[in-house]
Amino acid sequence: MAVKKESSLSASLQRLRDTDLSSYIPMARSVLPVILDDILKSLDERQRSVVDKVLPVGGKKKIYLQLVDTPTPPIVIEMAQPLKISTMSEKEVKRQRIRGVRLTIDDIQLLAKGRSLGNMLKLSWRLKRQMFTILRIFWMVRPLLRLRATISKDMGNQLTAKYKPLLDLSAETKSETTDQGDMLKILMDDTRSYVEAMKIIMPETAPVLEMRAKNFEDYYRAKETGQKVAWINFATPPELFYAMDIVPFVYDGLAFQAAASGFALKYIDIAEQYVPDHLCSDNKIHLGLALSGDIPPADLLIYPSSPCDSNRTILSAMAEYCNIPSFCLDLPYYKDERALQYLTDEWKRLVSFLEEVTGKKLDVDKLRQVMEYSNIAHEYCLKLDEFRKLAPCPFTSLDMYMDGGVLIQFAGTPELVDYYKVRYDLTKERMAKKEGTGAEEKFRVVWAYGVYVPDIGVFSWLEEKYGAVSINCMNFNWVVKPTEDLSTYDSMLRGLAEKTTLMPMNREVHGPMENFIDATVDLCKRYKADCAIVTGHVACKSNWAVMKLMKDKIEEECGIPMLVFEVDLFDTRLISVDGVKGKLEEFFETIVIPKNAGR
Amino acid sequence: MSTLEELIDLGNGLANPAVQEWKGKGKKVVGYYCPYVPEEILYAADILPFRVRAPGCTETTSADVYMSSINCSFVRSCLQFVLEGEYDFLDGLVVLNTCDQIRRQYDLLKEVKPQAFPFLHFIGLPHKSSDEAVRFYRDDLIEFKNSVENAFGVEITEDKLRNAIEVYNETRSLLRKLYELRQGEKPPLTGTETLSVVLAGTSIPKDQYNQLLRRLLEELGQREGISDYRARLMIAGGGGCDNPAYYQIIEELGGLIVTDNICFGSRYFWEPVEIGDDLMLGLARSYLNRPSCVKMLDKVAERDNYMKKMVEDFKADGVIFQVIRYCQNWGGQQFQVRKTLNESNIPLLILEREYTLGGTGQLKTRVQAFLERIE
Repeated sequence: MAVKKESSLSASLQRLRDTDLSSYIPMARSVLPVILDDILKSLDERQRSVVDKVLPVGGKKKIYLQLVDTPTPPIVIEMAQPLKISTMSEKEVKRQRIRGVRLTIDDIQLLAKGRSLGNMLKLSWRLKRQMFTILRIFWMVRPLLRLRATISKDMGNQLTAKYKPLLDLSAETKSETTDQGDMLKILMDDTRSYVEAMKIIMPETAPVLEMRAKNFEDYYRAKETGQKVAWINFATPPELFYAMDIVPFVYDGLAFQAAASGFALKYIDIAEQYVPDHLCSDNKIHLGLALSGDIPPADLLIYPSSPCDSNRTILSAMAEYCNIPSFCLDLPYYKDERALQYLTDEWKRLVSFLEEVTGKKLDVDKLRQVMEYSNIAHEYCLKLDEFRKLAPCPFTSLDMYMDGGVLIQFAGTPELVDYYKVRYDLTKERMAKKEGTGAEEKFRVVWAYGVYVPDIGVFSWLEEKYGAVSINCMNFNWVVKPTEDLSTYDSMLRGLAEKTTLMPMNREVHGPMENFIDATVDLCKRYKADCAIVTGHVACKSNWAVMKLMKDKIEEECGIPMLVFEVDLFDTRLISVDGVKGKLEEFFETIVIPKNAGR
Repeated sequence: MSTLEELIDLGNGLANPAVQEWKGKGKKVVGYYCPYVPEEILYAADILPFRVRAPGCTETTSADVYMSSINCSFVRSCLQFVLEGEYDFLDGLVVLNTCDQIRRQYDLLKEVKPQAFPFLHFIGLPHKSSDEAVRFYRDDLIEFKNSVENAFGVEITEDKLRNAIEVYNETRSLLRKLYELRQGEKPPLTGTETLSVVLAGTSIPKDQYNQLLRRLLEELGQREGISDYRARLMIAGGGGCDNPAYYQIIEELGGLIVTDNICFGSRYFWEPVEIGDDLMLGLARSYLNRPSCVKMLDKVAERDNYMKKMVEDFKADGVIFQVIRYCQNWGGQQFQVRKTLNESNIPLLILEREYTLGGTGQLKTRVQAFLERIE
């Protein structure tokens, strides 16, 4: 076992050679003060005075650690309470004359092997030129090392138990070790395991994963509970399904999760045995999953005729191929009154369809209750959106990701209302105390197209490296207003129809080009963006016919630069995460930073 | 010159003699992208409907400024032709949301070359064929009719529209007869010739076309049928299948194309338009219920049946399903097509290609192997 552990640690260390840890710094920044706080609470007065000496409140001393020959810039720790951690360029480290240690991966490997005399001598030899600095730092933190000996074993165990989910997270991912036969269970368990870690890292947004895990579980247990599972698309409001006790499962969410968990490529490859490679990888993932048999088949397939050819063509064929009852919610091209009436009638026909296949009548009062929940959630979402306009933005880039996506799947649930309420109250409180997110906001970024999926760490990395905070993106640009009239069946379905036309991507991509361009200009203006980024998904054919004109208009009307480049949002084989970072680096270094130099 | 040769000539270029003659009379020509546009409305306004394509387009440099190389080359080639002025003879253009890439042509033209077409109209085609969708489409067509009337200062009366539908139904009937001649053991014309004949119909006035078709049918009665083929083939697939040279390569290898399921072929004319009290409703219903493009989402099973029926009726030995690269509509359905044909033991070859004819060596190799498989 020991050998296995060592080789696993060694492999993790080897990975550091190619990994830029900047993405994890914002997370560490939020977690470390919490951990330190917990430690402080567990100390007696004498022990606490020792910590206060090394980490004084408002202290100014900084030390850095640099992992030589890796993409990670120097990691700087402020020896103060609250404990602060950040990355800094080597130039800045020198300018501020910060003391620190430069370690190679081999040095760390040696350190990890154990503190035998031989190892220590070898290490000392390797670090001989830095010995003076090391001794000074050692002297600075010496009281803390002494303190370690006085902390009781119980206390140590308690802390270890509390932060176990974090330690589990840093272990090898399940995707590398688990049999992939029952993908739904894997995703469900994965999500559950993340919930606990999330409670420590981002406690405010942990309920998002809890809701997600419950959704997986509802799907997984549907056979036992007798509920029908409907696969729906992200541009289809889910409220009706909750009202009819059907489990709505946003199949695009599945693709997001698969990409984030490292399962996506397998299912893309399966799908490409059936459809050309240039179809959307989002659709290919759920086609691959459906055809692989790795996930229980859906009972119903509900898809809109929007937002793209790939979605509608694959879904319509998939329903036939897999013999799944399906319904296409047909969105007219334009959004005038006649179109809204047609779409409202489409929703009524969907109700009839669902009643027929489930054998249950829609309870209008239940729908009203669900719509009320949905309304409250949307109101909160709009309020949070107002906060988002403030500079500096009171949310991190990851908050954008969590807050925006959750409305797609959970609108109409009481859990979402609770979540947003907590978010709203805490943000308001934080703003009253003038507390920021901890990140320095130098640039405000709008993602004029979809968010980048394979590694959401890219957002934190941008935040850390350039102070570039991602404020909003097309996918999560919610402008849906609550349905005012909940008095009748007709008025509620009319509300759902209106909402459908305003769902992200239905609003921008489905209709004429000006919908997309105007919405993007508005997005950039509304959030006072300093730049716009389009990670243009190769499969989005309609969007590639818009990009040139959109870029011109953004630059002309908003006076900000826009970066457009090709990616596959779910398949890193087209361009790797590092490749994406490279494009972003070039954009910031050569355009955004020089353009804002005098600011 | 035989009627067949005359029709082939007419189908090969853009501004053919019939178009020039029409323009010479001071009459208007309006282009359209997709066969879901009811040409009858234009014809009733004494306007020549002209199906947009880009024969002979070899590069898309200008179009690529506005579209990406990962957009379908048929659409980019058409845009290239517009930007190059090849379509300057058109007085207008009608676009509908057949696919994401075609609909963006309308958006781009509106912004990039607004002077190109004094009349530029967009029709939002429903994706379903339900009664409600038919009524919705009817209203769109009325709006289209009003728009044509206003733009060109004409009145489209009921009589004119009825007459137009009758003329077009005659075209449909004549073309169907032409196709049915190919059901026999010795079809009187090749697939390459047939495609050119159909193409001619998309670019000359239909009354003139009907006369030519009638003459052609008579002449074909005298023609010796083709018997030296290795296999009877059906061509299926999406837009951009308008290049007779592509068919020729297949036929030179011994595969005789006896029928098709393409929008430049049978899907364009197979069923007549109903003529009832409400002509616009009839147009809407007939167009939405014609042998369908994959754009129609509620017709997957019906499309499968149409494909199988065509194979059966024309005694095709195999199907070549051709898709223009980056056409997601047809590419996304190919697994369902494969399943349908496999279940009926119908050999299938899926060919993805660019609109501009290239890679003929590879095409020949694949077709050759396919023919060997089904012989």
